[in-house]
Amino acid sequence: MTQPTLFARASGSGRAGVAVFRISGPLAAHAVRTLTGGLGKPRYARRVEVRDTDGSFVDDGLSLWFPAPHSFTGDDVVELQLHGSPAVTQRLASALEELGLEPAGPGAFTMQAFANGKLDLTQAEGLAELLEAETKRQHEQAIGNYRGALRDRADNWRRDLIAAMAVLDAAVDFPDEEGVPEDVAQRARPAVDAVQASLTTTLEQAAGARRLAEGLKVVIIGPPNAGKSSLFNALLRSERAIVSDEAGTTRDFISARLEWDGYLVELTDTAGLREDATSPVEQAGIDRAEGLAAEADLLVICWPSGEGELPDWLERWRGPQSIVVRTKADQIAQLSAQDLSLSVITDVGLDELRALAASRFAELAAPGMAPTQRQAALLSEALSSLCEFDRFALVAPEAAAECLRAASRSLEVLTGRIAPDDILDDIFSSFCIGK
Amino acid sequence: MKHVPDKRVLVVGGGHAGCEAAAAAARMGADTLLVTHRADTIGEMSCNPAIGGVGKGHLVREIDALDGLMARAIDQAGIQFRMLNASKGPAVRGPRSQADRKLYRQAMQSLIKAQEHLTVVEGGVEDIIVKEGRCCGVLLASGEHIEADAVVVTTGTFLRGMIHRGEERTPAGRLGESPSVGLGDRLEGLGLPMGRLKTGTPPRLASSTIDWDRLETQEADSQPVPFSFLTASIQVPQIACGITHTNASTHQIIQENLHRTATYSGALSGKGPRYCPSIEDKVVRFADKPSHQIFLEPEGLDDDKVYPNGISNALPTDVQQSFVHSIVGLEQAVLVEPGYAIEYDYVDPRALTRELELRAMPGLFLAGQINGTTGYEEAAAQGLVAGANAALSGSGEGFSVDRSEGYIGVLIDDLVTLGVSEPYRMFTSRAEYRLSLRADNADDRLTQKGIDAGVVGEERAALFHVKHSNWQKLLSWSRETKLTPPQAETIGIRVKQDGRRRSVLDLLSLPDVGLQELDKHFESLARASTDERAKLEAEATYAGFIDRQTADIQAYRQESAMKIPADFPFEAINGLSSELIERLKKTRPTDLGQAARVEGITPAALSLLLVHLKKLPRVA
Ligand SMILES: Cc1cc2nc3c(=O)[nH]c(=O)nc-3n(C[C@H](O)[C@H](O)[C@H](O)COP(=O)(O)OP(=O)(O)OC[C@H]3O[C@@H](n4cnc5c(N)ncnc54)[C@H](O)[C@@H]3O)c2cc1C
Repeated sequence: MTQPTLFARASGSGRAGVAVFRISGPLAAHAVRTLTGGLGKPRYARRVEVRDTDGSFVDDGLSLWFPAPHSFTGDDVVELQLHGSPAVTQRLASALEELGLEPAGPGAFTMQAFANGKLDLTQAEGLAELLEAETKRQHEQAIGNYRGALRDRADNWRRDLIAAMAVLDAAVDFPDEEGVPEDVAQRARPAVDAVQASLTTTLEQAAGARRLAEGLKVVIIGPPNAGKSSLFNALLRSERAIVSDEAGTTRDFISARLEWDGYLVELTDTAGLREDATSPVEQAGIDRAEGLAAEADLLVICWPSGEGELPDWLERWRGPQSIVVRTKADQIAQLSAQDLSLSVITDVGLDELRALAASRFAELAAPGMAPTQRQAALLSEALSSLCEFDRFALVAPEAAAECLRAASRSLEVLTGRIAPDDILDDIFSSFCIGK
Repeated sequence: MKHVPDKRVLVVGGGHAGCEAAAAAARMGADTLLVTHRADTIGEMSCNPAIGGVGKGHLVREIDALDGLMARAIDQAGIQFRMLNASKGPAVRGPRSQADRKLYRQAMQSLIKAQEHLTVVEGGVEDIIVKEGRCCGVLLASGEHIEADAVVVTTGTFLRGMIHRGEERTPAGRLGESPSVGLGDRLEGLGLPMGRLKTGTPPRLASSTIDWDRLETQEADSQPVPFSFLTASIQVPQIACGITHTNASTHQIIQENLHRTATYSGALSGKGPRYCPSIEDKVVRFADKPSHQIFLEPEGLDDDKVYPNGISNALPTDVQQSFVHSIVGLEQAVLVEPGYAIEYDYVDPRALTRELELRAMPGLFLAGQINGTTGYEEAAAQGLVAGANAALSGSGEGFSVDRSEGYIGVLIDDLVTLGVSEPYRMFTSRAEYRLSLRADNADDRLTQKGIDAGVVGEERAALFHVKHSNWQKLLSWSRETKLTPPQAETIGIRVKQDGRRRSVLDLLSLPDVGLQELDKHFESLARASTDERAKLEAEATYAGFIDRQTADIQAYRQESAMKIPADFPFEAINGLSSELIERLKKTRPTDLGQAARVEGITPAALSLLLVHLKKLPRVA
């Protein structure tokens, strides 16, 4: 089979000032020579005019030449920086197709990199996340995975488990030997305990790391006219909105994604809560708001200043995952002693709320190993095998060794010792086109 | 049962590999010739007079399940049967017995004689005959040519063997027997990858000169368990071994004379077995150990020679004498034969297929120590597989055991995948499916497979079917016989009063319930054979694991089903380092699972291989 040469616009679709086109494979050099009349020095930018095969001018821009194997994919790669108009994209694509190149599917470049040994499986998974990263902290975490942090940790666990297994096996395979201790399980214990503890921590941290990767849910609740929407809008203005709201699908709630102190946050404003709904429609809105509140990582409870203490039906949401905000603080003189007073008109309390929330985020979403679902399942599997060690150590050393063998096998699968096709497909299909 | 018509198989060497190879080929129906230097050394134990052990005993049971000879021979010659690891779980119990060397030789020779289609020819093989790239016979030292459809070479330590003792060097295959030089040169001439290994043997002592009264002893088991599924009971009288230890002055004598031992003077370049070190090695490597244990094993019932297990060495005779005399009980011991080390050629087994045929020379099979293993059991297991395949040679069929079916599979897969860096010995830790591959169930795992391949004779086949159905009955009985909590209480077993009825097997899996407790209440248990009892115990003890292992085995089979074509161009995979490509080309794995076991293969390399096998880069 001859290897295809692939191309794609690597910098996203649509209009843009500049777009990067990546071409990778055996025909890359030939194609670029044909379209620009040369290739240039490896890894140096070169000013080029792109003309299609019949010589008509397409665009001018920059060309970068990365000869194999020193390229992202490990094959010959050329990257063209051209104007990002749909017309240029279109014309370049037809010129390249005419030369026998093929448009790249999702993950195809990464797959090439993988096939050339440039990345391993956990790194490829890290890369997928890296490309999705929206905030600074997500980015740091994905970089860790991309560089193989989880793989390194799994390799270390496995190495320690195999060493512990060797202690047990010595007793099994050399029964007539002197100097092989009787209480082998006890001698293997410290290593097993250490791996078990480290696995447990990683899994515990994983929840926080996933929150970092997937975003924290902040939900605003309160009665109608408590100033929820004003607060929502004030936060949107002060934090960096990532995707402006597309909600409005229902009038029950409205959400926006924003970067809040480096964390990805999904901020949701809900329909007003009250004790007795006046209509079934309103009741439905309240139910939904309560559902969102229950799943929130952080709840912002609004209650106007000057209305006395919170009623019971609102008070019950107060807890470690909530911040109570007394809104409209500009309208009264006597501020709450217990809760945060805030006014979107005078900006009183807004910075305080932001800081308070950010410190909650820091507790909830610690950067760390963020295993994917596949990886987390294998880590749990390894952990549950280790949890049986003590029980079987009492039965027989070979049974205890079996627990260790099972655990180290799960870790092997994690690092991709044998990656069944479906896993490969899964991982590579999570890329968008041109990566 | 299949028969291989009109095929002639020629086996070179009458050691442990050769005997099994010849007998297996003959059972397959091939007209078989066993060519060896001397018919009276057939079945000779070159070193330690013992068969079995942990891992090794498993192999013997498997050889027997495939109707091989070794288990039957040791049952007629064993003078100290012991079940090793008896206090541990059934998976790692290993039968072992010391042998009366003479009885063992006699037993083996009579089994060979009784085998149909098998003829013994005395002679030394000098060369092989090659026609059109295929091995089709041998040339004897006498000048005689013998043609054959396939040849199995099992020459042990004889390939350019060289004995070292102190400063002396003597070309030899074993003490007093000349080496095979012509054959060694020939194999090298084929361009096969070869190397040197070494092994050693201790001096033999005169029993009458040992002060037995001052020594501890180790007794045989009171109820010897036979190796063979065909043997009803052991008739040979059982004896005890003596135990003594080296001491500081022994170590000093050895230290002072290290420069005179071949091993440390640099004369010996081959690698020795790490697991069975010479006494020089022990003294140097474990310098802080004040003493090392020695088992004094009589070589026979009416043999005055004693094998002191633990002090193999290549020191000059006078030094051997003085260090032996420094040991308690051996002060007056006479050395009947001094110890020595032997260095010999082996062929890198990665040059072989799973059928143990040389990829570079169809029709030529290798088995035993020549492939870099050590030990009688390892040799015999390979012999059986090579012999069966030699009989099938050219038919397009092959006989192989995989890693999930038996230790034989683990052994051969390790050899042809990893090669060897030191003499290879079997351990249970090499088997990833250890809980399923037990000595007690070797026949359940392999006999039917052997019947289908034609390597198991009719007598055993008939017996197996009866035995197997008895076991199935016992197993169902143990699952179906159920007791309520009060009923369990009446036989002295306390369980939760939850109204749940528990089967005999359930009760057996309780931590403090053993077979002994149940025997007196259930006649079917008391009557069950040792193997059946071990199998029940395994069912109860390993219940949770067996399911998981079954899933692992399934995954293993899936990996094995992903075949790699024989001409797959590993060098065309861009991302693989040249070192890995070299290793893959040496082993030429035939499937993805085997590739995963090649040394140094990383997960990344493996997924690469998978991607290239599937030609995946065209993700759409
Ligand atoms: C000194 C010594 C020490 C050992 N120590 C240990 C130990 O400590 N532990 C352990 O596990 N194992 C040990 N072994 C190894 C064990 O003895 C062997 O692994 C086992 O016997 C190998 O079996 P085999 O069938 O491959 O070869 P062998 O049993 O050696 O048989 C080879 C046979 O081939 C015949 N033969 C050779 N060349 C020719 C020819 N050209 N033509 C015709 N016939 C030929 C010979 O006569 C002999 O019958 C030792 C071996 C020796 C020699």
